Amino acid sequence: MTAQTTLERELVERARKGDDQAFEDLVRMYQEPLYRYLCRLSGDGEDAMELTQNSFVKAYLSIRRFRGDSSFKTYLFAIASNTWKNTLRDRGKRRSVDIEQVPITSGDNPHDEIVRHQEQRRFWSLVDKLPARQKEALTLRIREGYPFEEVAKVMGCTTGSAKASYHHAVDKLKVAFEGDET
Amino acid sequence: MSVCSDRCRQLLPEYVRGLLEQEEMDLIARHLEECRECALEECVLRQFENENLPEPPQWFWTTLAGKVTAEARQKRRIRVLVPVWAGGLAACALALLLFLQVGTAPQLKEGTPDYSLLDTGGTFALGLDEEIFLSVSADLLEDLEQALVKDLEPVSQQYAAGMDLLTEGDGYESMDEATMKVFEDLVEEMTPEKVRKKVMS
Repeated sequence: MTAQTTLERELVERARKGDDQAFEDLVRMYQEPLYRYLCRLSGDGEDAMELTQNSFVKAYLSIRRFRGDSSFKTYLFAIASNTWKNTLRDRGKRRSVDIEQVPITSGDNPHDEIVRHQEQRRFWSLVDKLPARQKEALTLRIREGYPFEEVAKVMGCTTGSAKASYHHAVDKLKVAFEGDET
Repeated sequence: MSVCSDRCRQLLPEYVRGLLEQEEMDLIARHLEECRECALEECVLRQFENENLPEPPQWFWTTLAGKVTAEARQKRRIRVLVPVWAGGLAACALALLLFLQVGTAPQLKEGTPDYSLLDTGGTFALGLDEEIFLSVSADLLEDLEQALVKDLEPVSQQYAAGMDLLTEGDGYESMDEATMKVFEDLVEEMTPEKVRKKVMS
């Protein structure tokens, strides 16, 4: 058991007993990964800030029911996932990533740079069109480094379904780079 | 030892993040030179890994923890107080109606929460709150709250259980629309400040 896991368990136990200071320490521990996760899902920094706060509030209100079957981070991400899905449902649409914020990797010459820029635009445009579940599976597997079993716990589905969502997403995104390989 | 495509696909996320043993890193690197499909997948993963996300302002990190606990405490307080009011009003109204009809007042049942009462309680509360709030002085508010908490605990528990459903993952799916709307209205609209303002007016 790592030092962080031990600390997390202590904080969760204290928070369950009503210690707000302990819960605030949990917020500080996970605020950055949670924000980045939600930012990646929502594609918008402002939305991600709001979703992050709402997710933590829900976690606070329900922490007494957290039984420790998974890590607190997985529990928190599952709450965040549902919060995001509810927001999507309420709005009936998804926002797209601001492509101009994606940095252009410098190439050896202006032509390379233009090609790379077009490739990136194509890539992020495809990411934006991914179904929510596929985007979520991709984010959890690649960005968070979760094994598929944990991805499934966060998404509330089977491991097989999480794998399928992930591989479908990757296969769709390959199209963005296929032009270079021919 | 060779790396088959499936094994490579399985390990690519860890390869891209540089988390594998050197031997495995080398094996996959060699495989990527030969396998176009896996090389394309590596491009996808590297691109996704390197996405540049907007940074929130610094104050967001420094104030978030305090804001979360403050907002959660307020919502928890509403979960305790509003359901008591809602439950109290619903119970009184139901008791009166049934007493007039059949001549006996109903008893609140303890035990398993009956969610069908939640919507009724919320609706009665929303319909009658103006009259009730205006008739209660601020000084009496706290005593009344405490009395209602004690006497109407089953109703309060039902409401709290309903709120718990909302805060859980599939809460919305497990409640009908009318109940959900009433709950959301109570939580969003009836903040302690607004309630107190009504009472003080």
